[in-house]
Amino acid sequence: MIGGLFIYNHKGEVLISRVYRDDIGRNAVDAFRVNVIHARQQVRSPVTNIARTSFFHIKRSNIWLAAVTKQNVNAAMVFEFLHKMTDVMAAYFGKVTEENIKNNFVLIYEILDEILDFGYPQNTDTGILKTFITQQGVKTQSKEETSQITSQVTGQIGWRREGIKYRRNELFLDVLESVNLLMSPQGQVLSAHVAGRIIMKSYLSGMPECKFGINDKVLMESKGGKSGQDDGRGTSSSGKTSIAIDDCQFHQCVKLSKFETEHSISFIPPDGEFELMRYRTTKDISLPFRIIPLVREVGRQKMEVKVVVKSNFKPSLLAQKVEVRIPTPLNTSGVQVICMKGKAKYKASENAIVWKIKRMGGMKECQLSAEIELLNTNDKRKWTRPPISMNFEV
Amino acid sequence: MAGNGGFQASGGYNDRPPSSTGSGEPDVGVDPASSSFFNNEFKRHEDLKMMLDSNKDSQKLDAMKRIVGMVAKGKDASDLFPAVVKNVVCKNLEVKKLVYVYLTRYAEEQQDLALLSISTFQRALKDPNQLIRASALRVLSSIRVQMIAPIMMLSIKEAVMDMSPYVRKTAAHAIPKVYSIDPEQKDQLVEVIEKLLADKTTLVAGSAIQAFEEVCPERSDLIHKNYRKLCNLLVDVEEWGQVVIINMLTRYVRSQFINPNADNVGDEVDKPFYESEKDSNDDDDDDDDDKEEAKAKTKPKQYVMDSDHRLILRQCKPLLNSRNAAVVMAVAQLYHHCAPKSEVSTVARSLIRLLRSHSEVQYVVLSNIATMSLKQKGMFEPFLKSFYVRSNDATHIKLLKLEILTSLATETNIATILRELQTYVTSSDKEFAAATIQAIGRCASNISEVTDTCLNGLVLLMSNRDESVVAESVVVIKKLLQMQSSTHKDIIIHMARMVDNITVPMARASILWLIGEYSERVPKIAPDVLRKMAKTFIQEEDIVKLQILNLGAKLMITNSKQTKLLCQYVFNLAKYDQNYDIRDRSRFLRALVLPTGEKGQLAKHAKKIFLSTKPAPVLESKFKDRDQYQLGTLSHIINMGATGYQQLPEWPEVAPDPSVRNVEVVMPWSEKTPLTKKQKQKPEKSFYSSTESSSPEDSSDDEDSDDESEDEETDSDDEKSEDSEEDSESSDDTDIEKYKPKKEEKVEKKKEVVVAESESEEDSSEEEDSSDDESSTESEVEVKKKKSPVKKPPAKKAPKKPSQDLDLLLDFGDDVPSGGPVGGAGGGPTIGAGDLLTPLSALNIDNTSSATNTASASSQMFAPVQVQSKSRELLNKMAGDGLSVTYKFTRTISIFSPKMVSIELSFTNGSDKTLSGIKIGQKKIQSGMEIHDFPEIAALAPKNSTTVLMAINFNDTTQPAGFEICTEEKKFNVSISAPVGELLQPYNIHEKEFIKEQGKLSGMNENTAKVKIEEDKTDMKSVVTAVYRVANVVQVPSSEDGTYRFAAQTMASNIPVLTTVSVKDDGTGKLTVNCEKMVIGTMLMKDVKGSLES
Repeated sequence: MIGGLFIYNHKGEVLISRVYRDDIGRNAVDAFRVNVIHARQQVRSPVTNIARTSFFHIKRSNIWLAAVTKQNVNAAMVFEFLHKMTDVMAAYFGKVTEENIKNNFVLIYEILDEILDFGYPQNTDTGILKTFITQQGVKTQSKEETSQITSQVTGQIGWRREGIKYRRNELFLDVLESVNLLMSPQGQVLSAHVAGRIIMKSYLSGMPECKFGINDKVLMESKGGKSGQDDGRGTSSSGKTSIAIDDCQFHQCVKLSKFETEHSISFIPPDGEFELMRYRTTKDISLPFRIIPLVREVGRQKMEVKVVVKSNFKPSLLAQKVEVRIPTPLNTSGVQVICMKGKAKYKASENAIVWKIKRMGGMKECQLSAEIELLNTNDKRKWTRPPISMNFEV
Repeated sequence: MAGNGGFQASGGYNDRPPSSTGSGEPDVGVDPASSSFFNNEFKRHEDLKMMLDSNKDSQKLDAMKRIVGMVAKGKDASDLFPAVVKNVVCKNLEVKKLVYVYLTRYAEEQQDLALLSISTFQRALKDPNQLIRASALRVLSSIRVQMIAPIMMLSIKEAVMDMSPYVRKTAAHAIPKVYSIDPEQKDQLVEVIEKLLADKTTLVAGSAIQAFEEVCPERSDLIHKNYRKLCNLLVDVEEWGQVVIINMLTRYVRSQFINPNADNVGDEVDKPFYESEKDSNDDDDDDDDDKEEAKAKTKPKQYVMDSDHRLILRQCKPLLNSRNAAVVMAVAQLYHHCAPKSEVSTVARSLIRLLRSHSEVQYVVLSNIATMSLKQKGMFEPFLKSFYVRSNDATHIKLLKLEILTSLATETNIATILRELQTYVTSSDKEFAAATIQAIGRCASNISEVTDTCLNGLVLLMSNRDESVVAESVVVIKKLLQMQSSTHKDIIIHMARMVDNITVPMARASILWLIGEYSERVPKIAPDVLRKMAKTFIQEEDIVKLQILNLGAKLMITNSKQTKLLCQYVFNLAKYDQNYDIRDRSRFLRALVLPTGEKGQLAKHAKKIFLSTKPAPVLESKFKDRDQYQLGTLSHIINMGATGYQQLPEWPEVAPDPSVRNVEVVMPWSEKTPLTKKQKQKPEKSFYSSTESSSPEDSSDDEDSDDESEDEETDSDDEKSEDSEEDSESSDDTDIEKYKPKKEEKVEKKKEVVVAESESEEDSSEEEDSSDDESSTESEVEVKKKKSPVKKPPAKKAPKKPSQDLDLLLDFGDDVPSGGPVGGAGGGPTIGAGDLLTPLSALNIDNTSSATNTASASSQMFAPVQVQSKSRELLNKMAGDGLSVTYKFTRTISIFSPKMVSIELSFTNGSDKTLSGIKIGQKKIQSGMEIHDFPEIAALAPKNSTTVLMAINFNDTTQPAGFEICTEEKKFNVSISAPVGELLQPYNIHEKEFIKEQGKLSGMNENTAKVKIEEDKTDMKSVVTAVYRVANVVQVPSSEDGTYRFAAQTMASNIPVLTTVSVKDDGTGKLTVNCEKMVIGTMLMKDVKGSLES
């Protein structure tokens, strides 16, 4: 039961405010600005309680979104809602920026009207919202269209409208995985997990029902934690290891009860692109790459960085479009990079050295060394050495 | 009036931008029109008014957009109020929505003008478009003017009976709004909520519970009847609704079932062991209490979980895979609070997953895990590594992770955790490093095996370069040493040496305290430390000064020879300190330790006072006291009760009567008897409860029916008077009308139960799908039964009839769901979607508008209620090896696809062994047809029956759809073909449109036939019933006597099918069917003709 919703810019000016309940006074807006946005120390907890009024805030780039309540709400729900709200806004007018918010005042009002009724979150699916909150000119809807919208808003299958027709019925599945790992300073892997997302693009006519079968232990190649669902080569060497998915979550169109009983994912897909499923595995992850960074701080104005990338997979495989991102300190003034393979560049705007290698075979090793010149700063805080990230395709 | 600040739009704030930045003002200044601002503004408004008055939608929309833009920018647009309000009647949906936005902004400020608009809303509430109806209700209820609360109340009552679930949902939302402006309406609102709770649509469920939670959370009696339904619907409810429902059910479960963990020790355990187990058990207190009570009463008996309790746990489990973190959290807290200990761990995995979402959600989840992990270590132990801190985590996340890691530490994993903690100590984040050291301290105190290692580690840390780390470790070591009985002389000496270097006051104070406390162990060093301290006394912080005084006093007692002078010196210094606390302390200590005169009574015991053994501090989690709050709530996060926080009830010692949740499972009637309009009821053989459980029900129902029979009599009196008054009814009567139907319906339902049970007594093996003649005899029984308790003279019946029809019309919204397949019985997801397209929208609006209208309408129409297609045999008992299957068309919209005909299959196991794995095998269907399988029936016990839903898209043909029904052992080929009347769905249309459409479908597309109807069946009711019997159509309100029109459209291709029957008094009549598809037209005509002439 959200009492009110405020959107501020980074200066703390209110861009949008909407109060749903009596118990939230006008001064709540200022209370948040003073106590959180303009607070002296950085406020770290996303929940702030000021005089028995609680503020839940999230920050997107320069925009603060705060939900206010005096009631005992479900905290996770409020945050989930705020995130959905930003998603919806992003779907309507791209990036959530001050400029965009100011330009789309009416629209946001309308959206808020629809997705939050007296502080209760409502349907937040952008697909549906888009069918009846439109900003583009006058669209006199024919009677059928209106009834279609109605049945969509009110019906059981909210995410798909009827009567979609395609000449070619196509369906694309993309599996995106990211390997997350935590290493100790000694180079020991503490924990690693693979988080995967299955993105589906459906261009199907009518109301198709799709069904995937899953056996209890999803058979996937353990090779580097890559999807490899259609890659049969690795199987023989690495041995047929089956990976159990630790946990997964689905798009709302998936019938959860069916998944529970039949272990099948059955759903009527929304039209276009959507994220069907997310999953996570932790077992038998062999890392595709190994990155060994060496950082030496030479005095206060110079730093030497040496990064070695080793590919750990079979030599027969090729990794493509490898991109390594090495963060640099904020006070970097100049960087000189030497690398044996690929191209490396210092991007000041991103505060990172980006190193691109077009392709890289298995069991290879590449090295990059860089000299970073630093500006003198008063800041005594040590550089925290944020993690190096890398992207690649196989 | 009441509404101070309900819907202040942003305007207020943008009017006066924060003065600190003041960037708003230049906006106005820069405005090129600012020189002639008012003039211009005025003109623009004129121009807007013109646009609003124009008859082009596009212009209106443009104007409205500009106005809303003004509202958003904070400019005053209130002078346009009248012009805008006029446009509420605008047909364009887009314009209407903007007008609503405008109204919510200004209605409050201009209450009088706003009142003018209310009639417009009332009109909008009758708009055929459900979106408009809903938003009208929403806006109406958002106008926070107490004066109109009664009007809102009326509108809500109407909307609750709307056939669009969306409108009903909005009505549910309006309830708390009304409650907040006028709490005196509570009783009426509760009544409405009760009605909404009975709604079977998933769309409504969540909102209804929200209203319930806000208005009357204490009325758990309202939930009883709906509990199972809610549990079964849960999976299909929209995500936000799920959260609310689960939260409510958590409280319900806590109050209605007994604690599953109360006697988790098992049955074979003998008492002493039980006792010890109890002691060692780190359950919370209430668990223990419960146990004690249980023990006091009976011997610990095996706990059997109530089937309803099990139901909620089972139904919630799939929701753990939801993409909405709030839902997952809600399920997790349900399991935490309500599930047996052994099952709680199922949620762990999903919670771990949430750790990958946004940092704010992460924060919430982690604080909940922190509490959960305190109660149940084992649950998160396998995921220990997920709580390892990442360098890019925010500090508050890090601290929470640390907290969890510490709680999870056990003898086995302490080594890994300590290694991890060691790394954290070096973190550049000071606060985090300090917290880590405290965490190490906690590990050391909790796990005795590692205390020494930890202590050594901490001592090493004391030589760390970072001062804050050193200081923190000193403080922690102090605590640890205090806990340990063994001497750690070397550590104390080491610390004493550090006094010179450490500057953090808290650490200095700790060292001094330690030296004072254990001065006997370091007799040589202690006085020296005091000497050093005396030198720097003036520069020390207050906290250190106090400890110096302390140290002096203690040394004075143990070693007065060496320290007396020093001590006196320190006391003298303190005497003139700025801080009164220190002055007081020195005075007090001096009197105790250095008495001037003879020793006082207290001074004799100085040693006992100062050097008694102090209790060791307990290092415990900061989350220890948080478990008093329900997990996942705001109160838990901020660790203080938020407004409206409701304590979770303790488990009751004895479960309240479980039978209150039993619901009579209403099965679709097999045959309708026109006279009594009775629905046949399946005997109390519900899905969940065993057959025996019906016995208490019987008696209570009998009583009820007695009571009710009296009610009925009074009711009928009312009705009589009302009938006479019908023409001159005042507006008050509308109210009466609206209440009464409900009451009466209740009466009828209760009686039905009686009837149903008496039937089951007469013929216990009888199934609900009895054949036609059987039911006709039954209906006789019913009539008798009904008459006897009521003792109503038969003459009374005749005048009563019309009003009964009328009631049904009014109550239609309620009736339909109960007429549909009851999801609870099928076990599958329940569908109330039927209401969506259920006919009569136009009519219903007329009805509610005025009573006179209703009366006239009812003379034209007969409600198409409970006409149920008969059940047909699909698989014979003989052919099916004991398994018999019947099917019937439910005439509701299939949940699977609107193109599909929803079919209810009832399986009866006539054999004497359990059949398992009943499902659909191979399908033999023509192209274009589709079959949606029913969920597999896991097992069907002998002599039991169950019903499931399937759906077939016949593609508008009467071709049979063939498929196999497989059991574990066998396969049976069956086929279903739908009569043409079942391929239709009701189609709402006005009479005018009907005639227009009919005009288009003449010639080839028209089929006519003469019918001869028996004379006693020419009245409207029999005709309409006859048509409804064979076809799923809806009657169109007709202005002509003796002409009945029915509209429908085909399922698959939505082609309109129009049927007209005109009857003369002598029984001759004409039947016309217009349909583009000639086959359907002719076949339907044949069917209808047959039915009419029978």
